[in-house]
Amino acid sequence: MFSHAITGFAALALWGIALPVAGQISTSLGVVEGSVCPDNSHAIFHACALEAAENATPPRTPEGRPDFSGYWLRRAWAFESLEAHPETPDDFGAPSAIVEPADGLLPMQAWALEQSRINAERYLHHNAACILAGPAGTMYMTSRFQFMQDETHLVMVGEQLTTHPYRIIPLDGRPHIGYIPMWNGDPRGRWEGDTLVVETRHQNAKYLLDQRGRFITDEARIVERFTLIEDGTIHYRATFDDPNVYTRPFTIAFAFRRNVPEIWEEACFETNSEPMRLYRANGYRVYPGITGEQARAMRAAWEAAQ
Amino acid sequence: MGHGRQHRDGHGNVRTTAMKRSIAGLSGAGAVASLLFAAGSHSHHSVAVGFDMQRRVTVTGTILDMEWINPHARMSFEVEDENGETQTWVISFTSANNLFRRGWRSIHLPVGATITVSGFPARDGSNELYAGETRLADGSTLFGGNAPGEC
Repeated sequence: MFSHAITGFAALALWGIALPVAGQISTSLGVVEGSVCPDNSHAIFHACALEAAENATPPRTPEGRPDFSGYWLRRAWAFESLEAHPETPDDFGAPSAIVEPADGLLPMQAWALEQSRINAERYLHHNAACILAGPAGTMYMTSRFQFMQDETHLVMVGEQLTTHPYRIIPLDGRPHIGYIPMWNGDPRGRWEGDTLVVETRHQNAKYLLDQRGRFITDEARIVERFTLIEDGTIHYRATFDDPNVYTRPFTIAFAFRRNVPEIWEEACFETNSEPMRLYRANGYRVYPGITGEQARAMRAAWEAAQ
Repeated sequence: MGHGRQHRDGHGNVRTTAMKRSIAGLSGAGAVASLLFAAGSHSHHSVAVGFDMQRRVTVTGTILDMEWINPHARMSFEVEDENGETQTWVISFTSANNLFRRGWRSIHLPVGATITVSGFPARDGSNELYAGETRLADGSTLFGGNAPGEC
């Protein structure tokens, strides 16, 4: 199964009249007329949304919480690379989704940067094997979502690009399950004013963050923030904190827009075997993931070799 | 990116005029044409792992079967080579969901119909393409690849 990691397509470079020249980094990801923050470009939208949230009057549930229910379209192009990446025949291209640090670059430790290059050379992106994308990866890979919310849960189901995209997030203050490593981890939501904060632990880190081989370990702490800045727009942020791999936490941000009529079933396994045959024929293996303990051992080995 | 790049005809089919130009200069039935495409770095994407995205191949033949499945619809069709021998090619498209949303329907791709498909060839040399565009016998075209506006 390969569309779930599909990116730029040579045909698209010829498609339409407003495409950037191959090799350039697009500075525009489209605009939504009438929105309080119309520009989808990650950093521009993020800066606008922070201000817009102060005066937002979102739709609310009967309990008075912001109501995220409905159909949403992701407006982020980060699954190819979290950092800025140029358009090529194999890549849609986009500006960086990283808003913190402000330079838009991932604060990777030196050994991890080298490991990312190795990952990119050696391993298939997890989605090619119908493997889940992790909590935040699900959000920036899945194209379309339906959110369903009540007093105790936010449930997300999705379609396109991500394998079996669904998340179930308790909102009632219950404790984390404990250490059961899961693809999308053990999330818990809480409210900070009108922002829903979702903290996920115990994800298994057997997936890549992007198609450049970037990664986290199973000890990473992932905190997402969902804010309705208007009826039709969610300001989404995800902060990754993993001292095994990064020199400091980093945050990505982008918009969800309310404009898809419904989502449909999109099973992943149906055509997996044939694409996998091609991948294996070309010598690739599925990314195996990495634990915190493995990361520390790899860093020590890398430092000893310097 | 991706807004306003689709053009629907009266049947609801997505047409891509720029892609039409890429097909217009290629040879006719049974021919296989290969073009060097725009240079770009080969990042480690799933399509690029299985298919050579630096080349395009155009194949004309008759439909044997069309599988409307996710995450990739697949078509097999029969192609006659220069020696008059027939080969079976397999074409992978974007998801059946995407094709349906663009207006593709089974009536557009009946068994036995002649079509021309342009796409990226399999790296292992097998008769497989990842399809960008399919041209039907009436000259209309259906874009079968991956569109940023849908992602």
